[in-house]
Amino acid sequence: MKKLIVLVSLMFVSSLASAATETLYVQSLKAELKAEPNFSAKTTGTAMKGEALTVIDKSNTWYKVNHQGKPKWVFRYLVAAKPPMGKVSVLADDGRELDKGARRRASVVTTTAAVRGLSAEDRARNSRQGMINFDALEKLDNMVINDNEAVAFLSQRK
Amino acid sequence: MPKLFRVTLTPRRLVAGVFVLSLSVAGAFAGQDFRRRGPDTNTDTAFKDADVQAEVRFGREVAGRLLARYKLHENAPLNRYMGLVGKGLALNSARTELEYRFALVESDVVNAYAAPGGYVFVTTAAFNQMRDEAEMAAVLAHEIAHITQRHIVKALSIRAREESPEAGLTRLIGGASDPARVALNQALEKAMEILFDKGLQKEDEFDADRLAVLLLAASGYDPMALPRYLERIKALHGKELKVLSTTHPPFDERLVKLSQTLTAEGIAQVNYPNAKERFQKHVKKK
Repeated sequence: MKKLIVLVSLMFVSSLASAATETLYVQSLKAELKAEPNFSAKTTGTAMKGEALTVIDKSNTWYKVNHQGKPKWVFRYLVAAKPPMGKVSVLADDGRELDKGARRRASVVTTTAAVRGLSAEDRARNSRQGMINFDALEKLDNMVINDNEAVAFLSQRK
Repeated sequence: MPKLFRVTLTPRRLVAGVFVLSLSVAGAFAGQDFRRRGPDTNTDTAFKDADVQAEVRFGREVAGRLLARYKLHENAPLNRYMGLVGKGLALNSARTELEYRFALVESDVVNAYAAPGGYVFVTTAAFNQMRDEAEMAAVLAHEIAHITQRHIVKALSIRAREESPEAGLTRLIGGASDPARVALNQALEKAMEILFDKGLQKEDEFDADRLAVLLLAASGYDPMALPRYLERIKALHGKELKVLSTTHPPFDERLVKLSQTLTAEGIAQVNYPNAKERFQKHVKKK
């Protein structure tokens, strides 16, 4: 009877454990994994964007996760319950807005649907009234930094 | 008292009973989420591409209006430097689907602005108060936090009853009728009012401060850079501070909360770099 009670208790506990299993996905480009739940702890691994991590425990702003069969800690800010999205853009490859490109050069537009903003008439009106600086906006559109360059720049800091 | 039921507990009945109980408990818990719900994990409902596109399109319209108010500071190397640091931080955040852009704008008012969808602006007055790269990163991290947490989108309150704020924005951006255009223009004006006049709710600013120091630490920058920079700004007087004081909570409140966060997270004493030399090298070139 004792053995039966132990067996039944184990069944109950394991059913609770499986109900609470949680998977999180890395959202940042990469996430450093730590031996302890703090930034000063030893780095014990790196998880890449989109990688799934099973949660074992939590402490404040850290999750203890299973990574390559070993328990490690990941900062909560870098993970989420759903896989990360791909890059979203409203500009066609040639830097023009998708709503204009969609009508004239459909072949260069990405597969994402064109999103209409203000109409051409509204834009012209706003530009004349000085409400929107489209020239500066186009310069801003071109101020894109390559991901790999940014990562390399970060790593060179002292 | 009459005996209503009499059940003899046999081993088989015990196992069956616990099995049924386990299933019902598992079923009850399966729909729940034991994570502490907080703004720093992306636990919101799944965003569609169209929702994010609408957010970016809206933010771009706001950026265009901001650039009509403040002239773009056309120092390409300095903007690029700020962009490299900002992008590096953004890649350590939870919304890498956004193509962030960082730019300096000419103003003698100390402030920085975040438009939805990834547009971050820092005034030249704010930049001139920075002493190292970690302080610049601190200001950028604060603005990135406003974007990752969708503070402005939520503050616009444009959703219909069962709609998320993001779906509300998608509906506004996608509308072609005159009422839709009017509604979009009103939302844009409200966004500008938030940025330049009323500010966000205090809690959103405290949230951005908290997430900023966490992002700094996660990116390997000295998290003390943010309170250090705020202490310096607090000591300024006059017109430079006017807009910042109107759109943000009092400095003392921010600094107290930051101190609490830094202690609670164990990042008050981390020995992370501030990249002062690299910052001075880039600033000297301007």
